[in-house]
Amino acid sequence: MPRIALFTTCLVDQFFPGVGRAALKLLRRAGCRVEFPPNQTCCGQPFFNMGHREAARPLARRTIEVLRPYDAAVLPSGSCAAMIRVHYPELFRHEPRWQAAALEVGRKTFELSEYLVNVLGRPDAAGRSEGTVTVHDSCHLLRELRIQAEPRTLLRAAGRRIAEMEDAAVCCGFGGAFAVKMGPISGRMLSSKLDRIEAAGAPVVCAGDVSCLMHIGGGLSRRGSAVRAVHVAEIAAEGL
Amino acid sequence: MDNRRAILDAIRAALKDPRPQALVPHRERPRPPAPALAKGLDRFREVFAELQGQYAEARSAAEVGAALERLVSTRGLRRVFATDTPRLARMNVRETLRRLGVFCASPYRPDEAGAHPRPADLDALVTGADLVIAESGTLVHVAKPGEGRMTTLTAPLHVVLFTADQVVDTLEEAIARLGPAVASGERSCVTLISGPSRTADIEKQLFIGVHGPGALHALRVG
Amino acid sequence: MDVATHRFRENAAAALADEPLQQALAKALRQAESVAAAAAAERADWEDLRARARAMKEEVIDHLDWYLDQFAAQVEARGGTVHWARTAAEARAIVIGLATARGVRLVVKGKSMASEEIDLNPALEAAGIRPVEGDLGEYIVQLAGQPPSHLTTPAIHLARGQIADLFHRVLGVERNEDPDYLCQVARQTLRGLFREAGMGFTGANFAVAETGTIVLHENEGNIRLAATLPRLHVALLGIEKIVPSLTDLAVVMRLLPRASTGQRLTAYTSWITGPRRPDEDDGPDELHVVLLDNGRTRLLADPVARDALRCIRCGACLNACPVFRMLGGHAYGWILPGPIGSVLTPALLGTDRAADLPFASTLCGACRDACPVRIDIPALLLHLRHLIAELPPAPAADAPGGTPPVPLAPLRGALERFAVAFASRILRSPWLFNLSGRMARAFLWPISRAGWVRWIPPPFNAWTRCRDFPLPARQSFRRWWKENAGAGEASGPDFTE
Repeated sequence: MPRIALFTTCLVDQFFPGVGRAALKLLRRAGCRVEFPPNQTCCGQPFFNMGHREAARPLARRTIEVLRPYDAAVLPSGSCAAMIRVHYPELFRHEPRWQAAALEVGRKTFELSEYLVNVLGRPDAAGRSEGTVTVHDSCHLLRELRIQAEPRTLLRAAGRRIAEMEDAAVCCGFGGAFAVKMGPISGRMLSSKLDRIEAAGAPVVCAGDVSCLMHIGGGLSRRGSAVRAVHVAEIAAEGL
Repeated sequence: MDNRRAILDAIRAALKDPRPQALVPHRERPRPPAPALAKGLDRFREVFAELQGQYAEARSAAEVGAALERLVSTRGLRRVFATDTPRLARMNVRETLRRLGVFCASPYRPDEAGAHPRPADLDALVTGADLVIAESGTLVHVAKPGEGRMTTLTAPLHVVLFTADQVVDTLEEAIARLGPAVASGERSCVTLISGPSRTADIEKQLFIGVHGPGALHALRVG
Repeated sequence: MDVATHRFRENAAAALADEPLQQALAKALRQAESVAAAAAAERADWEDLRARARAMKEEVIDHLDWYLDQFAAQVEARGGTVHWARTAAEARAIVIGLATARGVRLVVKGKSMASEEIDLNPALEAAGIRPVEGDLGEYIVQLAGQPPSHLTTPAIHLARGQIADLFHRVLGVERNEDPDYLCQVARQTLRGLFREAGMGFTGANFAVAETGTIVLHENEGNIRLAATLPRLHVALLGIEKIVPSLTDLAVVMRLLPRASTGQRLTAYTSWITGPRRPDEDDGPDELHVVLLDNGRTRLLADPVARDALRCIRCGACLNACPVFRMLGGHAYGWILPGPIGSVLTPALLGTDRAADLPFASTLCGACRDACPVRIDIPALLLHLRHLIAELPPAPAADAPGGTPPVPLAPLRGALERFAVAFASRILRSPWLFNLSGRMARAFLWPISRAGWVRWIPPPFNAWTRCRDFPLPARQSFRRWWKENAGAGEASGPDFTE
């Protein structure tokens, strides 16, 4: 039976552990043997995005070593999955052995909804719950991994109705360090996104990346909005 | 020569490091299937109309004459220049315009002082085309003696006569046909005209007829 | 134009506060993006075209010296003259020299980003020569004394009311906001100038090496007039504008108008090969082509960043960019704004002058999807960020603008490097990482409400200016896993919460 590593990501581990538990439930329900390798911390993306590749490399090596022994690695995050699959080889362009290891691990690294829907073919592993949600398409998930239908498939399999917002695919304005480095621009982009979310009329907005959800959720809280920002996995796992 | 050498040397030096190969190919956005498009004259008419061009057909010199007469009277045209190319001559264009009392002698050869006549004086231009591209609603004009660059540019109304055998479907076919003429260097200017002159520079609002004809008529003859 | 790349943050803040600008941009850019998408959707071969255009541009870049030589030889064989300008100053001198030698007092210009790049207009004026922009959008910004704010729609940031005010004030005409009226005023005013001008000045969208042809796309007809009526036609183009053959030209002619303005072809596309022939009725007696380097060979020397030379200046990335939509072009501080501008500006001016620009992006990738020549702009931004963060700044030897290089605020840079090193160290240790999370929670819990923190004391307060910060969880996932790990790996934790 294949051994799956659950790489929760640093933000899920410390801020949103419920997302990790939801991912675990879904994968188990789909028949996977899932482990949480305890040596994991962070894939290094924040540093890489800021241009600090020297700081990112040790974290990337650690991540590669942690994931390598498994048959597959599943992450409830599009941006971290993209970091491992798309950017790790670039990070080790001048270190052939690590580059090869990065490519090897990248080939078996998947985002959660991608894994459940495309690899396992088990969207039915979702639980059952009611209500309408709207969906924000996180940028790395959408444009690097090309995952757009899969989260929706999961949500529908869980019995949810989806009220699409206008501009679902427009960036929320988080962008990692951009959120603080370019705070005013980030805030304005957030404001646009929140307007669209509220206009969609659903009590919940879902996304596949907690980074977006932190930013959107923080904005909704600041506005005093009744809309909650919840990870796709948590909605899909309700009732399990 | 100095600068040329300096730039070329700088380029060669710059290129000594090859570009790194992509390690993980980027996935492109999936695209929905594109609609099937019409071809030939049907396609040309469709697109030309979208561009706000006016299309008409005339089977004979007499019909061409009638079409021009209609245009002259409905638009109140008083000064019309027509080029004297074989196609227009066959359709008796200049005779018709003279008969209607609107023909204007060639204003486009510069006078001895090298001054150009005032374009604002002309109400309309009648020329031929060298090629027609159906997919983009394009009339292709090669500037030639008797039918220079200005003959397709400087009046509010431009009428272009063409025949069905001049129609190609695609830009690639047009280039295949025109390429040798361009490569031979015989002529200095080929213009692809795809609709009347326009701008959307103010709030993206469309305005027709800026520095070129605001009314473009394509008349298929024969 | 005055280079203002080092004032990006202030300019961005001003743009965000400018309500009329925000409305003008929102409306115009949304429309631009949607017509371009519709035009691309019509072509079943759109992705194939993008792939071929990319391959063709890579081929040109890889053999740029050879293709430039071929182009120059062909232009000269057809009676044109080719000039090579290493710098903006040399290019200005060439153009002014040509004008002065022929007693030119008035130059009518077609839209040319390259001429903005070299600051041509002020130099012409200083030499007693009057430049008039023939393109409506350029004419409007020229009257307003502003630089263009977009690659293909220069006055996109202005609303009709502002243009009406401008025409009323500068031209003395009646104040009327109707765009039709405004267009007619511009047309009338410019009409006579084309005949009077001693020089027509244009850029070029493409230059075909095989035949020595320059290709000019436009919708208004002013470029045709500028390239025909005056006796002297001068065309300025960056050395990267070359395409090998007419067949290759077809590929980019399919892509540029669609990606740029959603048109199958622009109203006029002129292929100009040399000056008028002796037996032709009209056309300039002289054609001078000025090939411009101005930092492009330096960009070429960076094997990663050289991909940016594929750019065909269509503006599609600007129209797609959620950040550009909020800022408009002026905030970027130089002639090339938006996503591609955030790569080209630091690359051409020096990363020390424009260090903020590569960070003015969330790396969302909308630009990459929109680019007709498949430039991976996010990858190039990451590359520049890496150069800025980890390598000493690379100043451009002859960069334009009166502003001296502004070093990246050294304290800011040092603090950031320290914070990054510190955080990286913590993240290398699972227990340190978990401990830091527990400490953050302990610190923030007293000032939180319902799981959110409204305000964090400086220096960490940047986040909380416009949104709340989440409180770290009571129990991290790794703690939960450890405490709930059942017998053996196969069963794993129980979900008893």
